Amino acid sequence: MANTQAMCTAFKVQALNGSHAFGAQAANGVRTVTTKDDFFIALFLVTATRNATDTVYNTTGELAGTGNYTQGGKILPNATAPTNDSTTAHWTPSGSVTWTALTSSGAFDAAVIYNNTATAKNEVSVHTFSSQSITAADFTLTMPTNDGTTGLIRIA
Amino acid sequence: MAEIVTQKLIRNGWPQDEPPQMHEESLLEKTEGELDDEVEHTTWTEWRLDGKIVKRGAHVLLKKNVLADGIAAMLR
Repeated sequence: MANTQAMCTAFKVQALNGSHAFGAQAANGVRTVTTKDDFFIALFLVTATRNATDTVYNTTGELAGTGNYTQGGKILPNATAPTNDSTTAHWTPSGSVTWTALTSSGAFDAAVIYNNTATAKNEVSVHTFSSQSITAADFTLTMPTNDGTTGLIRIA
Repeated sequence: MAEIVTQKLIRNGWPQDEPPQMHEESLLEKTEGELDDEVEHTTWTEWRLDGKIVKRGAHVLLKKNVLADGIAAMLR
């Protein structure tokens, strides 16, 4: 079992169906989006199997709710609406996320982003990194530069 | 006159069956590490007491994004 970095396939379909709002938008001839959704990020153990086939967030393989970690993760700062560089659209959380004084229940190597506004908590993507075990200290995830080359979520 | 000694203490990790403890920093071995590749730039700091990690923090900068390529191609 392993975690695999991916944009979830179900999310791609939902994006085409207009199911997720990363930003608000004025009337554009299609629809008006007055409120954006809340997106959360949660941490998953190296023993988990999160990948492109995921459809919804669940706690299977997530860090236990101990040591200052709360299952469900943390809300992502989202002050910057999706935009585009040339032909590539992109969105990146507008700030870092820190778990303070964390003691992880095990080694973890993946962060899952999901739509917490959606009733089903539809999963967006899986982001992997080197295995980390945190003991009584902070763990911070910093986001890449928000552009068409490095933005966290891109559609080209 | 009594000597006033200021000690820098570090709170360690705690197993479920032990309360948190404070250790004098001078007793701990502190190491720092870094990983920089196409996926991430990660730094970490570890404190060991008698070879055992009692505190470890990390900072991960994500570099590798997820890309849906082909939607635009299908729409062309």
